[in-house]
Amino acid sequence: MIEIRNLSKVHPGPVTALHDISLDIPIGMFGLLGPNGAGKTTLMRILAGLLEPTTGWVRFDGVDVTHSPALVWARLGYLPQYFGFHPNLSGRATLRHLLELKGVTSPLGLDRLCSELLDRVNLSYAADRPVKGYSGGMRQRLGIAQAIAGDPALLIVDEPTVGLDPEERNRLYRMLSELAETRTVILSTHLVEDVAILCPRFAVLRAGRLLTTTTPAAAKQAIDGAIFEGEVGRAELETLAVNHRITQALLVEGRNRVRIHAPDYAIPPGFTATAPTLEDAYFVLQR
Amino acid sequence: MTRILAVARLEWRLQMTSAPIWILLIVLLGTTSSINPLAMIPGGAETIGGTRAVANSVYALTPAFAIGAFFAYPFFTALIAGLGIIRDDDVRIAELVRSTPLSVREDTWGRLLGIAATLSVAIGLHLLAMIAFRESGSGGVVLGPWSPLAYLVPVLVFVVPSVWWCAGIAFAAGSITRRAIAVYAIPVILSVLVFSLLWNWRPADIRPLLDIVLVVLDPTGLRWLSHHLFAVDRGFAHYNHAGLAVDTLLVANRLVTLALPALAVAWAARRHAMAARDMQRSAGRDSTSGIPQAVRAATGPSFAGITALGMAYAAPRALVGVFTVAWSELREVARQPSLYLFAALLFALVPELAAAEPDVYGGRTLLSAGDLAVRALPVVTVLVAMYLLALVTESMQRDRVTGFDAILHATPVATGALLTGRAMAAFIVAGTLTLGCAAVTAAVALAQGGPTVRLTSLALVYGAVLLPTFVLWIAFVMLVSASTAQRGTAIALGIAALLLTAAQLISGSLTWLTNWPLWGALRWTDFGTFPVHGPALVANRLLALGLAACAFAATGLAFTRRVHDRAAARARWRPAMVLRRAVAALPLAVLPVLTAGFLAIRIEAPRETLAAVAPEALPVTIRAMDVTLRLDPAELRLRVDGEYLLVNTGTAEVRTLPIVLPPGVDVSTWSHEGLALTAGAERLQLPRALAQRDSIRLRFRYTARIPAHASRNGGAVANYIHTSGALLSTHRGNLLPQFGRGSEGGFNGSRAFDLRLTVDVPTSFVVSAVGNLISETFADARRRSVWTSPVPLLAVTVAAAPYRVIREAGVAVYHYPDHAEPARAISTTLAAARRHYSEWFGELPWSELRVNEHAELFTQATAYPSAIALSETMGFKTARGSLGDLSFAVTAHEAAHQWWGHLLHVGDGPGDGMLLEGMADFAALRLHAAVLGDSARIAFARALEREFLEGRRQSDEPSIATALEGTASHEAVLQKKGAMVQWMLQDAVGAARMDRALRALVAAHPPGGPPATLEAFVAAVRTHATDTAMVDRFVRQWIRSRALPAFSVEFSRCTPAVEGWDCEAMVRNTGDAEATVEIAALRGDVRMPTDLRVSLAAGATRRIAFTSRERPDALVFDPDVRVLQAGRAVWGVTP
Repeated sequence: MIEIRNLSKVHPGPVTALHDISLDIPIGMFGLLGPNGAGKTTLMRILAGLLEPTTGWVRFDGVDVTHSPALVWARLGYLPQYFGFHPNLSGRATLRHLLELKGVTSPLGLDRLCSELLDRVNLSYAADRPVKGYSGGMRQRLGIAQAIAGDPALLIVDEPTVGLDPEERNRLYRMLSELAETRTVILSTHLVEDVAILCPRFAVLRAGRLLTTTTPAAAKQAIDGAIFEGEVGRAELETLAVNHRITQALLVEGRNRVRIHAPDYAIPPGFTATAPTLEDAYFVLQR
Repeated sequence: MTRILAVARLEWRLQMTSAPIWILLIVLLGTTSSINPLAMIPGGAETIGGTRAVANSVYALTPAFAIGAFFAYPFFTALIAGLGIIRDDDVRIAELVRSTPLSVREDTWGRLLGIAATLSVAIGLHLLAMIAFRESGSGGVVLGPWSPLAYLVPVLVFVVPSVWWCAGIAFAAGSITRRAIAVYAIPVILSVLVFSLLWNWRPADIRPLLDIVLVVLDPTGLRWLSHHLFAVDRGFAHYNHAGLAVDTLLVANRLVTLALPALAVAWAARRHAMAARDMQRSAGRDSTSGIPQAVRAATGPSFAGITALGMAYAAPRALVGVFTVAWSELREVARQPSLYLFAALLFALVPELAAAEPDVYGGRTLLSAGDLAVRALPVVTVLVAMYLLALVTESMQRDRVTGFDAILHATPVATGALLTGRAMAAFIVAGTLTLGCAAVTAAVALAQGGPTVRLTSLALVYGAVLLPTFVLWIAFVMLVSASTAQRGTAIALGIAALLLTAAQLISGSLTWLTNWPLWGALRWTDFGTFPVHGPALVANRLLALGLAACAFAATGLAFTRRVHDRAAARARWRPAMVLRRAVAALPLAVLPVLTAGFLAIRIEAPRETLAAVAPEALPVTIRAMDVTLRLDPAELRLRVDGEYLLVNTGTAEVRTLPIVLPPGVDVSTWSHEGLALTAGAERLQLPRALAQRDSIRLRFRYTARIPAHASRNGGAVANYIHTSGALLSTHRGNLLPQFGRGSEGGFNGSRAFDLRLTVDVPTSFVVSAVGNLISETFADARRRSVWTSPVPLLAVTVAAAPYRVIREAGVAVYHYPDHAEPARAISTTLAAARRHYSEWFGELPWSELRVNEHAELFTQATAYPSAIALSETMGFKTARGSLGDLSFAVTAHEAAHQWWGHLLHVGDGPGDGMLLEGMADFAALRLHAAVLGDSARIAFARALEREFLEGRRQSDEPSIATALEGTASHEAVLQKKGAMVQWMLQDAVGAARMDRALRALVAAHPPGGPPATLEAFVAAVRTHATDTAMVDRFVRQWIRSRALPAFSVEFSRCTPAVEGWDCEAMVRNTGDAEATVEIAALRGDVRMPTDLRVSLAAGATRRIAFTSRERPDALVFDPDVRVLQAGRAVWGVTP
């Protein structure tokens, strides 16, 4: 259980990255959703004990992360948004080094454990190649392998699906779901799809402020009956954007398929009511 | 062009906001004032009368700029020029840049333009600083008229090409390798190459072509300056006014210096372009494409759950974390080729660094393992420190640069373990390199076949002494790296620290307190383990370790694992918090504070000159002394109880005496006939007025610790008492009190006195003092010896140590037990010297002539009456040579001083010095002939001639009759030329007559008698010569003028004849003195009988002819080296 109270972070400038965030995160998968610059990574780094907040505190299972981050590091699996590896080390050597630094043990032994973990992230075939030859997706998978190693009590993953192909993304989803059964897993993402698939609860951030903490079902329930869908031409789209709150506008076979949020039922011609998606809810919340 | 300018502007902006350029500017300001402008001008440092070299001529400024360019620029230039492309890789902007229309060529030249603009700022400031410093006349230099060209020419000819060389090569290295370590290596390699090869390596027999190649390749131009421009003494008048004498060699050198980096940059740009093309081609390729499909399928992903792996997670124990980090670092280092290249370079250099230069007789010094290690220590320290600077900085920055820190810092491994592991890895690397150096040193010691190789010496020097330096340096670099979090800044600050220490060394301000690398502080002796300096050395090493601990702790604070909030950080710096932290850090400060305090108290203040201590001329003379010295080595103390018989030799009545006490003696008690006298710190009240020629007996007592303090920065100590031995003298250390400063200098104004000396030492010590040993008694575990002299003495020395003694025929050698073999050789030489010199110059009044070996805490060969003090390297570690060696030459020379200095009272006027040093070398020359044979005499004569020709200053050379002691170039005339002139004079008047003349001279000027002058010597020779006119001609040419003959062969030819070959040659005396010489014909090394002897006036030419059984291939003048001449050479015979 993570408790966050009155958390603020002001960067030199001054730029307020987080503004008075208070939040409880229970065991299980928890999503942090927000656009770029919302403060997700800042919050993740504070939770991981790598960034000191300006005010407020964070506790993990009663341990004060803001004052004693080392106590959290001993129980943490962390996949940052931006990271790298020593280019000349192989994937296996890198993973083994990190396992030793984390104090990970297994009845299998570290060598076998490395192989198993690399197998889980589909890197066995490249385990002994220097990391400098890895693609972005391969590096991301190696990052995931080290993050899940050791059965951490808290897993923080920041934009974990970046660079992964659909197959690998599914594999990650499965792993995270499994892990979330017995621990807190915090997933920071700007992809609504990730949250929709994985998170029973999530929070939405915008410009450093916590907009809401909710569940996908509740979020959708809140706009149920107010979402309408229709097709419009390019010229009409601009007019529509002025008069209505567009939640999604997709090009389908050259036509703009548009979904709008119309709680006042001022429905444009040709639009029909449709079931809300989490993406609709996210856009409504953002505005 | 627009794009090039855009790149240049960006590069300039980035460089001017980075630390290396600003640190370079500070270093330039600092070094401009510390380089001696007259360092290379022959005789420029001499200040004796006449014309002096001016400090703002082009000849004075060129070396100043060239040396400055070599010392200050390379490291910073390499950082500025070499790290640009690597910086792009670090910030991952390279691909973005490559995706623009900017071509590699535009990128390269744009960057270089920006780098050039940055470095131009430095060069401009260097120029302005030099103008300001020189034209203000700082340092008391003499200035000539202001000439802007005198400043601009050296900058354009030397500084700009040198800086461009380093910038271009570093840029190319960075661009090609993309490794920062390769960039750091450029200035290190340059420094080593320039120091050990290009600038300083120039053996006398170097092949001209090789010399030219080295001059042309030297990017600093220092070889051309040292060995070509300033090799010939052109005189101050030339140096002060003439323009720089540029020759084709310099032009070629500068062109190569400019062209090499241009080629390197062009090559790098080509490589860069090819790499970019390759990358574009491979872009979009699946990175798994190298893996066969079958393999991928076979090793396909597992869908098994991860909880089944049974993993557990617990923070690793501190030691496990440390070792894990250290092991990872070591693996990374072991992967780098730079480690092996550096180790190879270092190990190859150690034998060169450790080995002693061949002495003037071509001999080698057989150094002990400790000697070799101490000699290698300074350069090993610098090189390993530079390597560690690069290594530790990379280690500290690597995680940040690669982005690995984002993961690593969230692991449970303790920050202390992260840092300790890195420090341990660096220390293991340093320790391994040090161990390698120790192994190479041991191999060198074994290969030279000298004293027993003691591994404990190596362990002590390379281990206990050197390793704390590296511990401190690693901690310092870690602190700088953690604080700056920038690779370039950290490196620049590290180099600045090294340069600052070097500047302190040069300016003489380094002390035991500040000398962390121990530069210039250590001297090795086989007599003991760093005797005298031991406590200061231990304190210095403990200080280094204590500071390292502090720096390491500070690194922990500065290391950014968790980004602190500014507002929260301000709270942490509240006074109460700071105080709490300070209290917590107190235990760390204990060791540095205690050791620094100890050193601050123990280090002596800068020594005052005797003139400052005793400005008054000597009012009285010590006519006799009866002194008891009690040495207590365990307490490092000397107790003195003595009595002087003083005579007023001045013209005025004396009531008080200015006391000059030995260093370290603050309190002395004085009495007269049992009545205590009033003695202030500086003045003694006499019990009665002392009229002219009146005498008085004064008794004195004091206790001294010798040396009283730790010397400021180690180095030489002339007088000491230590558990491993004692060396005391009036000549080099004021063993006994004096009264004022004598006009002639030296103890008691160089006036002789009668002596009775009692020396009381522990029985384990054997004593050798001056005069004759008249009694030796043993009581209470002490040895008490009494020494007197049948003739008055000029100086007193006492050497005491657990000596072994070799005695034979009126001589004895007191030596360190391990040096028995060379001691036997010295004993043989000494016995021969006593026998022959007594025969040639008169009987020695002392029953025994002794050589006392002493610790190499002070390098000297000094003749005291009846006792010669030789430090270890003055013969006790010399490899024996069949034609003489340093041991023979030094023993022969110093033994001769018993006559020429102690039995003959020599004056101090012009030319009189020849009767001291010239006569001593002349006696040694004769002893070579008498004992070792004529070949040895020839070898020694060649050495004398060479030393004279190299030591004189042609533009300001005096005759023997006008030369004065105290100036190096004059002493070469008095000693080396003097010895050869004596030999020629002996040839001219005959040995027997010469000996009679010399014996008469010695008898007429005994100690305490009238001083002998050069004129007295000439008169004595005239008296005993048969042809006084010939003596007068000889004296006119060789003693009263500076003329020298020099011979050449204009042409030579040999034609077949009935019984061999008919040869003819035209020979010429190109010198300005007349001489008669033998001409020998050589076939290979074999001399062929010709019996040719010619007299040639100055400038005269003569045809010679001779018949030879075999065809000679060379002619040589004066093959037996009996006539001093310039330009001695072997002249080939034309086929």
